Amino acid sequence: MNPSTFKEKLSGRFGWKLGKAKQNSDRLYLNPEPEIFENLVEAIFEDHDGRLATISCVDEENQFRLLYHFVFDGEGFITTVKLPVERDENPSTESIANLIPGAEWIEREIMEMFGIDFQNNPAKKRLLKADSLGDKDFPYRKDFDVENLEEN
Amino acid sequence: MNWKSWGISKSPWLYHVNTGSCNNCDIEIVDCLTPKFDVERFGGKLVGSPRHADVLMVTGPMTRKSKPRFERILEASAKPFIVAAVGTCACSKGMFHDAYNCIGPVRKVTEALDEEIMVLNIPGCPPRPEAIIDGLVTGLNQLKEVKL
Amino acid sequence: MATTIPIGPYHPLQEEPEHYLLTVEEEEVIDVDVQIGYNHRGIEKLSEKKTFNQVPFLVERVCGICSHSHPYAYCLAVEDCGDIEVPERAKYIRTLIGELERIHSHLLWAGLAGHFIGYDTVFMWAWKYREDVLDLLELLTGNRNAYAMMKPGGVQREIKREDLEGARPKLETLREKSEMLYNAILDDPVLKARLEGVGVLPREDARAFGALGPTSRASGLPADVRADFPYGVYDELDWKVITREDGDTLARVEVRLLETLESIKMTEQIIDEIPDEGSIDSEPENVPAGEGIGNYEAPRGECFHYVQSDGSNRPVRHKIRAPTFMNFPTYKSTCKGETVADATIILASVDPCYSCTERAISLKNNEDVDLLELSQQKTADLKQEYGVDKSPLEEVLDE
Repeated sequence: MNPSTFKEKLSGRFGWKLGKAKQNSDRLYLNPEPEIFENLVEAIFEDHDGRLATISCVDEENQFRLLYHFVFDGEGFITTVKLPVERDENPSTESIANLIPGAEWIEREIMEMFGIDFQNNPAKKRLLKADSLGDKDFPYRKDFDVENLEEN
Repeated sequence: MNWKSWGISKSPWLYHVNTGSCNNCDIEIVDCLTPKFDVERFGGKLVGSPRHADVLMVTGPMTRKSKPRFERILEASAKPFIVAAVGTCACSKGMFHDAYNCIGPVRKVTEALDEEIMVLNIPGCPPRPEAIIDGLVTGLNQLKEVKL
Repeated sequence: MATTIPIGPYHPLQEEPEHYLLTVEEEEVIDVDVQIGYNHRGIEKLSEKKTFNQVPFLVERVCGICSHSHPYAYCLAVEDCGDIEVPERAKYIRTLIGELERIHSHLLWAGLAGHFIGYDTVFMWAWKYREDVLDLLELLTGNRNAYAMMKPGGVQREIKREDLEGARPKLETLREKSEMLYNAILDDPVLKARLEGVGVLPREDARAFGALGPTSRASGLPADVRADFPYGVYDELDWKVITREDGDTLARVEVRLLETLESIKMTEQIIDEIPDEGSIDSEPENVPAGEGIGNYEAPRGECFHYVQSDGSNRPVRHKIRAPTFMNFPTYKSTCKGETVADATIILASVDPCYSCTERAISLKNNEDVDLLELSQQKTADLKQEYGVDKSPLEEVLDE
């Protein structure tokens, strides 16, 4: 299996909703419609044995974009599924930690650092962030004010 | 030299505190204890509790989360003790000088708590075991002139 | 009745601060909760302020034990983003340092594991033999840790043929000692009793948690980035992926010790095959707008870096995922039902590295000898000991 055959397999199931894709010999970037996102992740993890490497969050000023990186160990390529998250008062999306237990810590880190709420994450507790930073301080956001941070 | 500083300089018991370092200085400190460098020759020994310690070996640029814990360690340590800031991060924050989560260096925290605490700086990224031993010996020799 | 035992954040077991809450019923562990973040320095945020060529020095400080892995993964990501070619000779040098680092890291872990179960002889032995690898790294790169060899498009420094030949005898003794250590550990009935069948991570749990590196290979998953995504020169070397089916702590020890021997074998092949001529740096001009992913097999498992560029000279986003971040949550599967005494070695058996999961000042000593000079002198002595004719210091002095 390589990125193009894998993409064909997925578009056979999801059709046009798979969205625009970008690929080269060992990378595949997918921009699916948000409505099929959960089914797509389930298909990659359960049916095609993709291993969730990590989730990257990118702050694009007007919205957030979550990048779910799946590695196919035996096949030697990486698929990235992109999911935009609206940047409003309380940005949120659905958790995948109940499907992939390894995602729990990754989502908790993003919750603290970017303030994106992962609904139904099984352990919504603080993991990394210092006790002296408030619940509304999100250090990895681009507009986080580093200069005027209290020194304690 | 009074008997307290004499005691410390003869067999400094070390307690290792990592305040957010990258592990490099920490493994070099542990390296000092293993056969090749062997600080037990000088009576130095790694202990498991700050209450037994004479020298606190502090590494790292002091992250926000570890600062309150470090202050509690300073309070818990049996006095008199000295603090050795091992590595450039602990001495001056080094390459993390503008990181949002690093509020060190070590001297700033100890001075805010008690100006009397003696801080030894051992720079290097990471300092070689030889440098750590050299720094310790230099510091302990100076102790002989200080009244604790 | 359930009792909660707090351990940490500062405790004598490990060098790094982390806070465990063990919920126990008599001797049996029924739940574990972990608090991390004492080592969180905000490197991903800091990285956005640095230029592409400065970032390797920063990510080298993600973790001092894997100080070649993170820069390597970052460089692979930048090279993926900009389609940058790497010269053949640079690839050999990169792989050589990477394998030496793996030997030093696995020996380090073997020693600490012995320390965790109260077997300090193993600790002292393993760390004594590890010094040989650090000497080799100092000979080849000039530094014991933090080698500063990586840059996007190549490597920073040359390695000379004499230095490489000087490394051979040391590798031979290292192999003897590692074999001795392997036999000593696996023959020991006490160690076997402490490790066998303890902290079993079943294959399906390893997959669900996304376990990596030796942790997953000890549970029978043959995933190894070196074989699956052959970066560097791994596809030209003769080596094999070590796996074990048992998934217990003993299997994880065995995988690491056998990998040490594989790495020594690979290092010798690299010394044989490395071309003597050729450029070491393709000197890329700039990184175009786009995104790139780099994954690298660090001693603890896959390092994963994602870099996004907008065409300027700084990354817009640099995501770092260290192997322990995926390996450590497996404690939920391995610790439950074990005893408190075993919990320490189980928690340590994934080789946790928390600083992952998150220049020089001239110093005078009493006799007014510059410490910097002393350390240069030591490197020079090492070179002479290894039969390398002239050290760089002597060359500079000659000029």
